[in-house]
Amino acid sequence: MTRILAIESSCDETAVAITEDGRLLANVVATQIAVHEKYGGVMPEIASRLHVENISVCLKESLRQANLTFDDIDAFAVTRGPGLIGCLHVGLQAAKTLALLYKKPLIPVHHLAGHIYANEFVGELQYPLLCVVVSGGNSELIIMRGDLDFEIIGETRDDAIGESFDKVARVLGLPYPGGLPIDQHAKLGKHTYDLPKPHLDKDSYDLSYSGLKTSVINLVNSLKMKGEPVRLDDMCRSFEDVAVGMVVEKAIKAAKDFNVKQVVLAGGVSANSYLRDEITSKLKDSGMNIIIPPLWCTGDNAAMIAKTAEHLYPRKVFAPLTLGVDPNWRITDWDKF
Amino acid sequence: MSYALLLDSSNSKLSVGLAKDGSLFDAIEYEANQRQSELMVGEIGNILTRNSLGKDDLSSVVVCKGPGSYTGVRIALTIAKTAALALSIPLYMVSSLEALKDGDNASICLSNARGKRSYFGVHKGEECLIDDCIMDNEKVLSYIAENPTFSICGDLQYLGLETTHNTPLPTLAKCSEEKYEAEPLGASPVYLKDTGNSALKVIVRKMNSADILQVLEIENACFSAPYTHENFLYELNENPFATMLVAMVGPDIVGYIDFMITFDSATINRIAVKEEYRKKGIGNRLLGECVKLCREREEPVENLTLEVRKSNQNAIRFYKKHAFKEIVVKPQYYSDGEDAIYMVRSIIND
Repeated sequence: MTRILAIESSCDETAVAITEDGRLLANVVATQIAVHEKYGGVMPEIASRLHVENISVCLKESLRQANLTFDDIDAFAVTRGPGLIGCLHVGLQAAKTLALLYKKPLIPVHHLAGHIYANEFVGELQYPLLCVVVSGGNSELIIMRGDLDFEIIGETRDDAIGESFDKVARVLGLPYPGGLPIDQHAKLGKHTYDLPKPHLDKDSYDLSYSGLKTSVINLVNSLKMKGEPVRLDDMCRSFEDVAVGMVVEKAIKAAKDFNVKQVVLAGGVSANSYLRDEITSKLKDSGMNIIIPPLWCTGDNAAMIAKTAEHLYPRKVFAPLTLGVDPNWRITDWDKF
Repeated sequence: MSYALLLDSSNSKLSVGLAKDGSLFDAIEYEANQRQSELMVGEIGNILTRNSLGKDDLSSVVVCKGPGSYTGVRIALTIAKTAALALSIPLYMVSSLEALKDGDNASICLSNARGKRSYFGVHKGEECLIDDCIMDNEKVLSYIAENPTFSICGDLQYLGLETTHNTPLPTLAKCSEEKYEAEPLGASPVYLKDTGNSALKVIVRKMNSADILQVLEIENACFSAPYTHENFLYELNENPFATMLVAMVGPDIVGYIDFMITFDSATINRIAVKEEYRKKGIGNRLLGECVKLCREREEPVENLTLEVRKSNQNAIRFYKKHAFKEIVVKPQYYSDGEDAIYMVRSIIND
């Protein structure tokens, strides 16, 4: 029996989870969204401060939920990157302290690998698979040919998709984070605004979101100058069609080109209902298996870090206590630290 | 046997100690150059091992709570909170300044708060003579001069002074008392500074020729190839594309920006803030006004561009924070042969 306690503090959620042979015993997330909402984005220094305040409470609550003590834990896992550097430091110190005191292995986990392996809470990964990682900080298409075997085949050239949702939401006067409110308004609207698709190389799997965001902002500004009202629902629909359409198009192409068995979604934007529906319906007759992470697992959490650590533990991917954080850690370097 | 674990990483040093019966028993302490995040936990392991101690030999944790480097303070405090929770032992938090005091001598305790300011506190034994605060270095130096018998404690290289006492560990060893006890679950550091702008009242207005003397003073301090009086007169009176703004605090000019709008793009030629007023949001204000003026044009400005010296990492960080992206390196752009980084920020885009 293996019990893993995992800590995640890479952005604006302080999270601790405990698993026992894959079974989730505790999952604690202290979210900071309410604090960052008023800034329309995450303020790194404020986020770091809140992690320090929250970390002990989260640790204690995880033990209470799992009805365990630290003595019962076999390994301590932690998000080492990518993320906000000041935030990552906090989780790292807590994990290292526990690993030292209890003389147990310290497992460094890549944050995006966590998002991908979160899918194991609802299904089994079948290789080769295509992973569509879409979040506030990342937009990547990753091919996995086996366990922990990652190849990035496409990524955004500028903004992440989630970032574009947040910025468009801000222009439209919608709250942060922008994903859910845009999704909700889009459901009520029609695609009536003409937003250009970015010109991307047909053969590449790369994405680009900065031009689309600019188009929305220019359109909103020019409507305002003409004194015409912005039809919020239609604008959200039009934006979401193009934003999600682009990643769906590239994902479908990649899935076919690489002849994958399975397509999985990962990251905060995978909570978007239109993305979920489009991927599902476009691949319905392809014979490919699709896994969509449960909504509770689309945001940042530590359950996914523990889940990934379960794959690292048997391979003895353990770090020395001198481990540092890496805010720009590449997923292909998951075993280099 | 029971030992107190002593931790401090609020400044440039890494300090780990063990105390027994209120005195320092063993210590590991060195300049860590911002590597405390990597090294501190391992050093705790080392000090326990070399004394053949285990976690159950620890009866309390004593930690410096700030003020000091934000990240540094958080490192030791996170370790301390985690250990106190795990081992169910008390957590004692001591001011990072008070911890530096020189025994029972009257001690001026200092650390670098940057921007020509210090974290400053005066402690004498159990007594706190002046509460921890932020003070301009000029005032700090005159306080030191007025009190020649006091010890001056901390890493004082930034003030060009010799330190009398520069370790927190002997004080931390004595601090297992009720008045320092903290509630470990929610414990958080003392930062003294807010993340937001200070209460400085800053006015930004168009520059006029009467401002040139004050602006030149900042210009000469900031740039290796400064503009001359004539250059500024040209920008003000003759260059039809140039706009110059100054930031004022009271009667003083504390910063300025010089930029050119040419059709759909704008270029920042100069932006500078007086050293002691940096990190107070003045650069943000100047850049903000520049962006605002670009946006107010009838013919919209699409991009804001600039060149910055490759070695000027502070400036590059500042620009990145303001959504500038590095586009290309211009080799040997400056007359002294240094490369420039060409950076662009979209104006209509955010």
